[in-house]
Amino acid sequence: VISGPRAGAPFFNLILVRLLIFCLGVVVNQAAVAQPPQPDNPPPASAKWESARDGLWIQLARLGNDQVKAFLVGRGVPLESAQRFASACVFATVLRNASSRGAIAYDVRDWRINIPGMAPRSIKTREKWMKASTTGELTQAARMGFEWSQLPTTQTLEKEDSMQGMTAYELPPGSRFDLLFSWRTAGRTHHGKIQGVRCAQAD
Amino acid sequence: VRKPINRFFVALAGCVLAAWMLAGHADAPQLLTPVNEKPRAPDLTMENVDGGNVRLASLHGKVVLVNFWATWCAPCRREMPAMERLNRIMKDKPFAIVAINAGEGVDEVFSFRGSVDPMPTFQLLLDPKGDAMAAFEVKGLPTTFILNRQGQIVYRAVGGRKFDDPRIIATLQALADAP
Repeated sequence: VISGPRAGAPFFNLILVRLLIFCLGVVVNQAAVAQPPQPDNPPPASAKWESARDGLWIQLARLGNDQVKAFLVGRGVPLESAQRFASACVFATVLRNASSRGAIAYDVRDWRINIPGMAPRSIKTREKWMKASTTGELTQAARMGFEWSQLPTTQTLEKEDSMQGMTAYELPPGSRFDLLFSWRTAGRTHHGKIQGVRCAQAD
Repeated sequence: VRKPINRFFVALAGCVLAAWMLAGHADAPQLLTPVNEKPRAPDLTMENVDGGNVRLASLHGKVVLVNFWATWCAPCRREMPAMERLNRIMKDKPFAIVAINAGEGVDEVFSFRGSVDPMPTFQLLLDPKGDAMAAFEVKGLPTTFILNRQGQIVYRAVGGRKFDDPRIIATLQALADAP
């Protein structure tokens, strides 16, 4: 007969272990639910770079020159313009508000790329790419497709919001760089860095 | 006997706390962002791919989901079937969906519609110059606005959504049932 102050210990230890296993299951399940959406037809894992911190999830997925060129020509962008953009080191870029604290806001004009041995430089925005296209060179449909497929320069993302679009870094094929990005949430500016991003090789 | 019971309750409390915290972060209920100012939606007239024009103001009296999209936009394509399912769920309510295409032609939109399952039966409108996107101050695709029955913008969603999510349906039904 088991008696005394330790009589219930084995029973409660068993319950404790089962409870912890259950908790672990909940954690694993919830973590899986919280995964951000993946882009269609994702490129090989080695061609994606991600960062998740302080409420922002960001992913860069490398796009091949031919892939970008075909997309733009399909929208009606003349081959020469399409080639110019496609060869400028293009990434499908996705941002998502993963914060529980409210809205996040980004401005691509504040972002920089860092190349070893060189001073940090700014990123050519959607507006600058559109300005660089000669007036009259693009039809209305081509202009719309070209402009709206690029990442918006500024955006405020509320909880659950996400945004995506192409970003082009004007670097030679195969270049390696670090992306220095920033965003604001709850009145604070946060800074992040994605290291060792590599442009597509020339086709 | 007190010691094991204490450990049991401490573990239980920890478990409850962990589940609550994770639920708060991973399964946030706010799928549409309220627009507190409730501005009046722009009154625009756009071409319908099925012919004729549609004036947004003619939909006053209904809750209207205004979705900006393009056939080449992956999250836009993904949310189309759920929008049609929502349309069917809301068929007995004063509710309408207008999906405004960014800069593409009738042929592209028409052939895309045929590829969606279930096929959209809501109105697909054309915005060839981006005038509607400018009027609604859209910055990227997809972006969606919910108008109440008075034609005011009351919710916004930037990026893709699963529009047949029960929480979104409940929000829209409440709006449709409001006077």
